[in-house]
This record gives sequence, C-alpha cells and structure tokens, in this order.
Amino acid sequence: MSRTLPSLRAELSRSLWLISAAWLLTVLLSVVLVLRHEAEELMDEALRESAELIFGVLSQRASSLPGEGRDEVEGQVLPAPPHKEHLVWQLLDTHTGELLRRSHSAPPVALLTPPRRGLAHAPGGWRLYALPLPDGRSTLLVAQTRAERLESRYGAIAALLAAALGISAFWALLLSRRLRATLQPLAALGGQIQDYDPMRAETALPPATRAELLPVRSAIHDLGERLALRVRHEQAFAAHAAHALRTPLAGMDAQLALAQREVGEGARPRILRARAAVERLKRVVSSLLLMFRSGLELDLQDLSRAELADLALRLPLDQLELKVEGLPFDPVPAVGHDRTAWVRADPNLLSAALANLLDNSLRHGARQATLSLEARNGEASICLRDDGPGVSAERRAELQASLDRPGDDSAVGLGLRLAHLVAQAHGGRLSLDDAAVGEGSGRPGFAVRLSLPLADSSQAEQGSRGC
Amino acid sequence: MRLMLLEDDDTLGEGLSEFLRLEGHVVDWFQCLRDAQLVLSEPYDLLLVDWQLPDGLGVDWIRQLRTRGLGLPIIVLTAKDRLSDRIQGLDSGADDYLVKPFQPEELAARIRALQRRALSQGAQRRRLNEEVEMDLAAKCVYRHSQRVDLTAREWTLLEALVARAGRVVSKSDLEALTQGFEGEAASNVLEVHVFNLRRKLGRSLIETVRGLGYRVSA
Repeated sequence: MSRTLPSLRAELSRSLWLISAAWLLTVLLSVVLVLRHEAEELMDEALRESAELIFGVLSQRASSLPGEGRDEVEGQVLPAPPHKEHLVWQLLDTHTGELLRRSHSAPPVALLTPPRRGLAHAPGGWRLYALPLPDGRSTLLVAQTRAERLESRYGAIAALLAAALGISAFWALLLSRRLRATLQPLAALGGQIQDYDPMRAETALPPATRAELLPVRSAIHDLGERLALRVRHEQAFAAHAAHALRTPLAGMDAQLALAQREVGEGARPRILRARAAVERLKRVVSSLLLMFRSGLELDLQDLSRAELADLALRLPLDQLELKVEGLPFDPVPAVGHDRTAWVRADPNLLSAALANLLDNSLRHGARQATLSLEARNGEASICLRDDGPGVSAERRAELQASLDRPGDDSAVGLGLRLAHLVAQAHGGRLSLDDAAVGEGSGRPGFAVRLSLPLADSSQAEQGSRGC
Repeated sequence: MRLMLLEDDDTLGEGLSEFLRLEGHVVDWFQCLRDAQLVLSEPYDLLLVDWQLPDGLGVDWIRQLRTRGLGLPIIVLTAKDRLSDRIQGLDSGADDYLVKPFQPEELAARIRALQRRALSQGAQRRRLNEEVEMDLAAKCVYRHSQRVDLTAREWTLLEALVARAGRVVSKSDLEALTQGFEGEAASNVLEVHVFNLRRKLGRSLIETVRGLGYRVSA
C-alpha cells in the first residue's frame, strides 16, 4: 500500500497561508477597532461642525428662515431638499423644550428635552449635538440616526476589508510562486540523486546550487563513493574467488576424468561417485559466486513458463528424472512455444536456485522430481516435489522457521538457503509444502515452492491445490 | 590434432593434456605466454588458451595472433563467466569460450566440433575418395562402407593430412603434428604409419611428393 508523504512545499505554503491569514486578521481587528473609534469621532465632529454652520446661519439671518415668527408657525417643517438627508436638525425652545423648527427628515417631536449643550444620545438611537442660539431662547440640535452612523462605519470597514483581502491574495500568490522557485533546487537535487549511479561517472552529482543543499549533496556523494568502492572490492573479490575456486575444480574433474579412463572396472564406480561429488561442488560454487555477484545487480528478463521449465530441464542432473507440469505441451519444444512473460527474473540466478533444490532432492535419495508451474494467489508458483524420504511435519516447521529468520542457518542447508535468497532477491519467498506426494515410491517425498511476483498480474488465477 | 594448451594451473593443465592425449590428440602444454610464443611457428591445429596467465592475458595474446593473421581455431578456457567477459573473449578472436569448471568431455566435444568445421564445414562425415570416408565425430574410417580400425597415431596422421588436404605437408611438420615435442626416437616412424594407412585405406589416398612430404587430395 503506497502512503503519500507530506510535502515540504505544501507545508511551507500552508504555514505561509496561516501566518498571512493570522497577520491579516490581527491587522484587520486593530484597524476595525481604530476605525470604529475614529469614525465615531469623525461623525461626532461632523455633527458639531454642522451645528456650528447652522448656528452661524441662524445667528445672522434668523429672520429669513421660512416661517419666522414662532407664534404664528410652531413646529414648522422646512421643505425637503433634493438629496437624502444624512443629518437632521431641530430648533427647540431652550426653556420649555418645545419644537420650534426642524429639517424635513427630523422627527416631529423634540429629540432631547430639555436640551443640554454638547453631544448626547437621545431616545430612538439618535446621536445629537445641542448648541444654544445667541438669543438665549432657543437651542439648535443636529442629529444623526444610529443606523446612519452604523452604515457609515461598516461601509468603511467593508471597503478596508476588501482592499486588504485583495492585496493579501495578490502577495500570497507572489509568495507562493517565489516559494516554489526557491524550493526548485531541492526538487532538482532529488532528480539528480535518483539518476545517480556511483559506478557510472556520467551520472555524477552536479555541484550544489544552494548553501543548504551542500551538506546533502556531499553526504550523498560520499555515500555513493563508499558504495562504489565496496562494490569494486566485491567485484574484484568475486573475480578472484571465481578464478581461485573454478580452476582447481576443473583440475579435479580433469584428473578424475583421466583416472576414470585409466583405472580398472572395479575402481570406476568409486571414481564416478567422486566425479558426481565434484560436479555437485561445482554447482554449489557456481551458485554461490552467482549469488554473491547478483547481490549487486540482477539481470532481470521476462521469462515464459516454457522458458522457465527449460531452465530446469537443461540442468545436468543425470541421476534425477525431472518432469514438468503446468505446461500445455510435453516435452518443452525449443521453438514455437508460448512466450508470454510469466515472471521477470534473472535466469542464471533462478537456474542456480533450481539446481540447488534439485541437487538437494538428489542428495536425499530422490530419483524422480516433478516441477509444476502455476499462478496461485496472485503469484507465480514454481513447485518442486520429489519422491525422496521427505521430513516430518515438526522438522518442516523448523526448517521453515529457520528460513524465515534472516541470518539463521542453524536448521537449513546451503541449497535451501540459496534458493530462499534467490526468491527474496526477486521479491518472492521459499516455502516448504506439506502436501508432498512420493509418486509410486511409497515415500512421502519433499515439496518446496518458490513464489515469485507475476510479470503481469492479469495472469493471476486462484489455485487451491497443494504443491 | 596437434593442440597447444596454455594453462597455468598444474592440476588442470596436466589433467587436460593427458585426457586429450587419450582422446587421440597431440598436446603441447605451456604454463606461460612466453613459452608458448617461442613455439608458435610449430604447426598446430588448435589452441586452448586460459584467460589469465602469469605473464599476461590470454585474450590480449589471441588478439595479437589474429592481428598477425593467424587463422587457427582457438578456444578460451576461463573462470570468467559474465556475459561481458564472453563477448570480450569471442571478440578478441576466439572461436569458442568455455567457462571453468567444465567437464573435460565437453572440451573434447568442442574440439571435435571445431575440427569438424575445419575439416568438412560442419558435416559429420567426409568422403576422402571413392573408397574412403571419415566419420569425424566417431573417429572412424570406412573403406567400401566397412569400418577400418586405425591406431590413435594413424588417425592423428590422417587427420593432419586431411586438415591440409590439397597441400603438401612436410615430414617434419607431420612429425610435429602427430608426435609433438615428445616424438619417438626412431626416424622412420612416420613412414611406418603412412605405410600402414596405405595398407588399410588404399595406396591412392596418400600421395608422396618426393623430397617434400605427403599430400591428400582436396
């Protein structure tokens, strides 16, 4: 199951957005509070200034006001202006609080009785400023409704908020792009590391482009150099070991082949047994060398079932009769068979694993073995069962447990261990089956299954048969 | 066939040379390039060369031989089994490549295959004249379809002449090809073997070129 890892860029972007939002909120709150206070002051100032303007007019030209002569026209209303009135005014009798005159939108009752000089709140949510006229009889009230004041205040706040949001979004986008550009060298380094093969000079890491990336680049480069050195040592060792082991083995076999021809009939079976032992030793040494070398890199190829069966059938095991099941033909034809890829594996390594398993069977007295190839439980199952003496269920469990414990070689022999390592190198596993059949031999037999990932999962078919 | 075996390992070199002698070949075994170089003018039919030798690489030596125009079949014997090694070995000019540890029987079979190719372009049997036919794989000779038994030395002599069919082969070369450096002391051994071959296979098969040597018709 793949797990999506958190992205550094996404984390930085998220942090940036969160910090920006928090900053914006803080600034907005401060601005709103200040604005609210300032707007109140400004509107109160407007009331006062308006009152003073009207006061000036009334002081100079009171007689020109329409309806002058309050005995005649009490509470007279001025005509409506051509615009909406945001401020209203009333002229009250200072002593009685009686409404003498008012602007068109002013309420028909006195807003404040008795009128007191200065700013005040009046019932009905009015805010007003009272100013006595010089005649000492009347007082001017200039007032504004609460709704009017709130509308002005929130209008200003909304405009500020919209402007702040717009500006913030613009800068956030710019910052996001800048962030992406800043992180680009990190992404580029990731790609370079992915392509880096310390054994190939042409893939060497380019110099670091940012100071922060220098230690990362150096660490990867040093690690690659150490790995390359180790691989070169191992390759040199493998080459040396190959020469040191293979040549004496060839010499031993040459001497035995010679002896086989020179000695009498009586000693020949002994020589043949010695040659068989040398042959086995050759297979083990070849497998070990192959395993050692393949630990460095697998030569993966698409293999069909027929090609896989062919690998087993080509193994030089004269004393073991090998049959193959799970193919639509028998024997395996050299050409013209179904070449659909069944597994993707290193043929040499797989051949070594099969050789070791078959050699195991032979060593334990088996004379017949059956190799079956089937897809089961979504895997390619290569099962080998022989007609040997087999093992008890307890012993089988012990062997399986030893196989499953890395580094535990106490119970299993080299053949099983090698086959297990080959399976693991291909992402598979080796398991010992309990459904062995010693065909016609009356012996329980031994069964071992090499499971590998299918080359194409669409070939998977459910299987329930034992090995 | 007269073979040169270049192998530095004592056990393998001694074992292989003796085994191949039992197969009917004349084998000269050397353990270093310097010694092999000294006798390269000798008439060999096939070279068996180890990759890694104490005084150099066998494949480099093969490349030099090919550059100089040597056309002998060459088999590389080596512990190197990587695909890249095999390609390098064959590209150096070797005709075949055998990875150690191998069975000497397999080497003998590969020598026979190369020999077949050299003698008869791959055919199993080769007709020498109207009466005589050689089976190269079975190492048998038939005259009038009847099998004729030859000694190992007689077979080697016939093989050497057939490999050079149409050409005159000097007595000294024939002695070298059939006896190597361990030639028998008697000076008329070659004549005796030729006499026996003519007796068994007919007088017309091997022609004597007076003063020069012997020849089998192409």
